[in-house]
Amino acid sequence: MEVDKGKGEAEETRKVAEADRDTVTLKSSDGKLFEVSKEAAARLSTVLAGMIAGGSIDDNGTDLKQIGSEALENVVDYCNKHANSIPSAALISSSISFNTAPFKEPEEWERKFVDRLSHDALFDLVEAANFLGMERLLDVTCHKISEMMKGKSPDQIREVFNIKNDYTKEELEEIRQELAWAFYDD
Amino acid sequence: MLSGHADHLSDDMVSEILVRLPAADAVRSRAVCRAWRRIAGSPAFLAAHARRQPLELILGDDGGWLHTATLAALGDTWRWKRRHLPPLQGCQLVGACGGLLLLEMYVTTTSSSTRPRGSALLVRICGLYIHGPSGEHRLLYLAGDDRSSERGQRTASHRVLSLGGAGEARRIGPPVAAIEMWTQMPEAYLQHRGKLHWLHHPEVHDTDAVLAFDTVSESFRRIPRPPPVRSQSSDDLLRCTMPPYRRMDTGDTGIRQIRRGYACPRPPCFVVEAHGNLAVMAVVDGCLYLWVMEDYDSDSSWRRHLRVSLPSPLRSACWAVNASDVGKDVILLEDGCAQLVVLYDLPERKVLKQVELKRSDTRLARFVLRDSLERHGLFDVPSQFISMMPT
Repeated sequence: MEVDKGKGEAEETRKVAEADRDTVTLKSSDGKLFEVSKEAAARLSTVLAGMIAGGSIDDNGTDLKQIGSEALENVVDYCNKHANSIPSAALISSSISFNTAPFKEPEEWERKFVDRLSHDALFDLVEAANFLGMERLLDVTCHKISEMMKGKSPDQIREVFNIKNDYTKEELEEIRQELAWAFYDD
Repeated sequence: MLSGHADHLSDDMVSEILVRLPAADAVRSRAVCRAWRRIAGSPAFLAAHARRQPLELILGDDGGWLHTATLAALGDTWRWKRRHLPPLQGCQLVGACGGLLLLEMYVTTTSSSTRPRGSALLVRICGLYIHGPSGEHRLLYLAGDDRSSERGQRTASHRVLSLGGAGEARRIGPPVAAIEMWTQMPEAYLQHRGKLHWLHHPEVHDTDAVLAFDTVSESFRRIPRPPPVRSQSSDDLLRCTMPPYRRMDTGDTGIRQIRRGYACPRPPCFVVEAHGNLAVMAVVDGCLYLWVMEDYDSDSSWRRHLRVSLPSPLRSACWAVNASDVGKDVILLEDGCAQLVVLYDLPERKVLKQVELKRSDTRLARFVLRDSLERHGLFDVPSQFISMMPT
């Protein structure tokens, strides 16, 4: 930009450049910056869509204080991958005609995307997806975690997810009896 | 990382995860820790879990066991799951509503002191539904009246029983002639706009009407049926009056079809929902007909929307039901003769999936089920206090 140009003109140029940008910059709780496709962000996250529409996107990095850098990196990665993937026919029709369908199976790339994550990263991503109003990502991550629980005994679930058993032995026996039908072998 | 820390997760997110588990896993998760028990046992969780459950077909076998299979997985992962219910020998499945199954069982009693001799306690279940304003499960049924009409004809009356209530059945509307009670089973009803609909019902037997029952105002309406069509092979008028086929094994010829009740040459029709409207469907000679009632308030608004040939070997249908899990206007058709189940997409006019029902010792119960862990107050009412025959 030439230095002798009027300030108003420069401002105008900057505004145009901003409107033309096809990415937005997001800042994690620990100050790291990530670029994400504006179109994908607006399509996949109701919260980001609202911020983009309301003009509250900061060019120097929109603060997302609740999301750590690892989770935000995964969010951004998911959005960019989504922007590049051609939605399958199943996904397109899901928005039109599948009114009460419980869940659409993850796409192959979505499956790979969550499979490579550690449990901690997965849990953080669930919270981030929820915070950003990313319904599909929430669906895919929660589905992945629920898949890890299916068919497992309470003992196995506690072990896998590192959950402390805060029941007494008697209480546990009581619960088992109360819910006996669910403890049959399938 | 060897293990994750689920305590990273807020209660809301734990709930989001557990709600995606199948019923048995969701119940088992309550034994993991106190927090999970609270989350996975709350009424809001159970209601949300029930809403997410897929539609399932029900299959009964000769041993009385019930098996279910997810309708959306029809074809690819067609796996029947045996339910942990005691075998239902001597019982007949007569209704389903969400996660509730209604079973009918006849019990012979020797005590006749309370009723005059010859007064058969005949009961015909018409429908099990949720009464919108109260959220109660209610049962609509026909029961034989104690007294005969003035002309000496035995009559029956509709009754409504609130299953969670005090157990007093209420009489609805005037008595109807009970003459067809044995041969005309009320069945294949459809819930549409908070109303139940039947093509086969003693009240509309031998008339050109669909019977509708408004579950809120508790009034009946007779809606004229769509115009009849002709079957090419038999030249019979198709007037949608025949009760559905029943499949039956015979020794040498394999599968044969017999009709419940009495002989009637007309092919069966079904009430379904199409384009958000009440519709009547029939499969005749491998051709599918669909009439849609375009304006529910206008008796004369039936329009024929479809007349398409179906691929062989689908020739007839003995059951049809909306497969809303698969798509908005997808219908599941059962051809009892060819032992086929087919998913048909109405807007696309094509068969999405076609699956053979291979085992001959099983048959589809013509109801669909959606698993539910919700606890209903009606199970807290001691059964001896529910009387279907009020004095």
